[in-house]
Amino acid sequence: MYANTHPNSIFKPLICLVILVFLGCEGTVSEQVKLHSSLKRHHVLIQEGNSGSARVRLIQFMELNGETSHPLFLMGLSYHSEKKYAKAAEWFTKSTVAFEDPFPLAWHYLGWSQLYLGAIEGSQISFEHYLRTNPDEPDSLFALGLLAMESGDLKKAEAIFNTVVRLAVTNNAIRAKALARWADTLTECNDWEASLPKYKEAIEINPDLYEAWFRYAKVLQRLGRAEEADKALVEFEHARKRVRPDLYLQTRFPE
Amino acid sequence: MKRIALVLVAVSCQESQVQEQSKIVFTDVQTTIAPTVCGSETPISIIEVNGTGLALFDFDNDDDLDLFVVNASNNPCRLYENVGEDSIAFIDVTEQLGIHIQRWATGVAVGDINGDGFEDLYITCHGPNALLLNHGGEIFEEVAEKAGVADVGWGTSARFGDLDGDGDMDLYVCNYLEFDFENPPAIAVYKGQAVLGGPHGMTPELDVVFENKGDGIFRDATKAWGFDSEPAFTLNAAILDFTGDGLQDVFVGNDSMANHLFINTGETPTRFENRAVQTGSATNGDGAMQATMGIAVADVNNNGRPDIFTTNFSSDTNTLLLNDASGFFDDRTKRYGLGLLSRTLLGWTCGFHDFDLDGDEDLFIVNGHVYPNATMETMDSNRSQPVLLMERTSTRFEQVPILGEYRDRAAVFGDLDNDGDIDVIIAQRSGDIRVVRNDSQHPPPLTIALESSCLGAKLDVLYKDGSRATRWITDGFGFQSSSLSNRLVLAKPVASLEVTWPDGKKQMYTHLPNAGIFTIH
Repeated sequence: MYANTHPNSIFKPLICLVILVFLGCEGTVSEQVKLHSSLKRHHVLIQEGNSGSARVRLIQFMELNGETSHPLFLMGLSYHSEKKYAKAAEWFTKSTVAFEDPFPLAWHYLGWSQLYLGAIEGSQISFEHYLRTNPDEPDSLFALGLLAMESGDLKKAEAIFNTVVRLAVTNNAIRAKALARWADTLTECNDWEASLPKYKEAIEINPDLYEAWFRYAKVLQRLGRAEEADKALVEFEHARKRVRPDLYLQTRFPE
Repeated sequence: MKRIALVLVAVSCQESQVQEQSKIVFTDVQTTIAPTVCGSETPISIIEVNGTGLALFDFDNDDDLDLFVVNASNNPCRLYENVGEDSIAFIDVTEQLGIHIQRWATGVAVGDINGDGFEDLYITCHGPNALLLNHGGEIFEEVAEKAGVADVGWGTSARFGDLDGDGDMDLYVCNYLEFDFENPPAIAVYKGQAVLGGPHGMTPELDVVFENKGDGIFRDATKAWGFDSEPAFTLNAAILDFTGDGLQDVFVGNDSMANHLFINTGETPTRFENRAVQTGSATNGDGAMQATMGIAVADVNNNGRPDIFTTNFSSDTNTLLLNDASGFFDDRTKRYGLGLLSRTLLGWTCGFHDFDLDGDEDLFIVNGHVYPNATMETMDSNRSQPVLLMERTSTRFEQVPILGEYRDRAAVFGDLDNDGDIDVIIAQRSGDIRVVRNDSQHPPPLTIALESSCLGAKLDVLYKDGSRATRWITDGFGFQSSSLSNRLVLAKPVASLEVTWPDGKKQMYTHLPNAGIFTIH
């Protein structure tokens, strides 16, 4: 989808491999992105959790081939996967300014890194930049919904999550999280009844969405449905243990 | 003197599109207050990371606020008398007042335990806590052992409050965890970096609650009153009537564990139940257990109930829980603009105060990382961090940038120079104490002065412009710190004022002056 076609590029589109890059900052949406075949091993290392090894190889790669957008992006991705967002943003930014060799997905990831660093304006700009080349990409839209909530514009957030749900018909992970955050916009306005079916649909689509289980339980408590709320809280605990076993480790602060 | 904040904040006005200046102006003031000490400059174990507390209170009833500074690692705690008249100046009166506290002291609470009109001090320590009885503002006597409050846990914050409604000050002591200097925890890992171990993997200590028996003696009421359910890594607590039933409740902030909300059941004998999970105050809105350090309370949404703001760890956000009338707390952090911008900060003491005297309460948060090796590159958060000042606008809070980065932990708030606005004193962990004078321009406000000690009193204000506000007399709930003043500043002309005393009795006042001091007996 994002094959490099610049005539001076070191990359040869014909030998590009299609590599699945996860956009799973909040969820697990995926998109097919073409990276140069020489970078396949580097990407796999990142996916396997060997980000340090990947970085050593990426730096060697850039020493030989120059700092182009693809290896710069993977450098950012290596830090992003370690939740080191300041370092990730630094490399994603370098990737986005490789004008002769554009790799738009870097904008998307830059947006998430900035969001996690609390750089609200920068994050907004990055997501909007990415959406210019890919206007229906649901995960960037989803992030804009979160930013709208942060700015207190609940109407805008609701409209964005509605759009994401519509666009992500075949993508259950992002559809579920958008439904849950849409429900959040309703609970922010104390519209408990309206939020309930949206939370319910979200956790039916993705039972691992532990935050939605919690919010579903809180709404049930609000509505006086204590027994159902207790069951939902149990499901919340189960889901959180499945998805975030790291939170139950004994030697780390939670994130 | 260094001007640290004079900034422009764009306030959009739908009708006139006028841009206004932020009115909040702070200025650093040079003083002779000695730096705090809490272990080594670079902490090597968890016992050193929390720093030490401050107390701002009027020990000699001369109508100005004096400062108590807690020091750890066997350095003496210090009392400074405010001698500045209409300026800010302190002198050290520690020895003169008979204070000799030289332990691993951590925090301090202020309250009048014997009703003699002079505020006493309770000092938390790693090891036996201390109780300094204030004899007429002339001498302090250490009586913890005799009074039965020399708890030996690792105390962090402590609060006084009338938990059983009998008219005297009971005591809530927050305990953190079991720490052995000879056997500190092993190194842990955070974001791939080797860091100081704990609190996870260590044994939490149970908080202790002492009932004031009224004769200078306290009784351990932890179990009898229902506070013995679950030991936790407790760092802070707030005593206030959170349910609106006229009884004092206790919100407890825990590190990396669910917070507690002990509701006063009103039964005889006294009984509390932890209903944090049922009320939505145990976690943030996503069910995440956070690392609660700071607690601030204000009526953010103007419904007459105390809302709770907590500061937390970096790579997390601070949390605003709105207290609605049906007994539930709702996480409204995002809506008020208090979420994402705190992700790179690790927050400690926070406080709601009307710094610009425009009638609403702004929010002041001090920050600093616990790990000496924290940098943006390694942990998305620096060891030294700026103060986060959030100015209240009509529906949200907007950041007012403040220069400087520090390793702050404690802060106390009060009118140091008797000009009607709220100044701040901030303590770093093993570092300088900064006195920050509020130089905001404002017309003379109305100061309500309550004559007796009245922690927990509620003031419902109806302004002449028809708006309403609810304020409480508290010690500020600062991390390991206390700011106790029986004075409350109101910026706008008041039509009526209703005071609900801690025992539930109410008094209504009308025909108040627009400025000056209005004393309530």
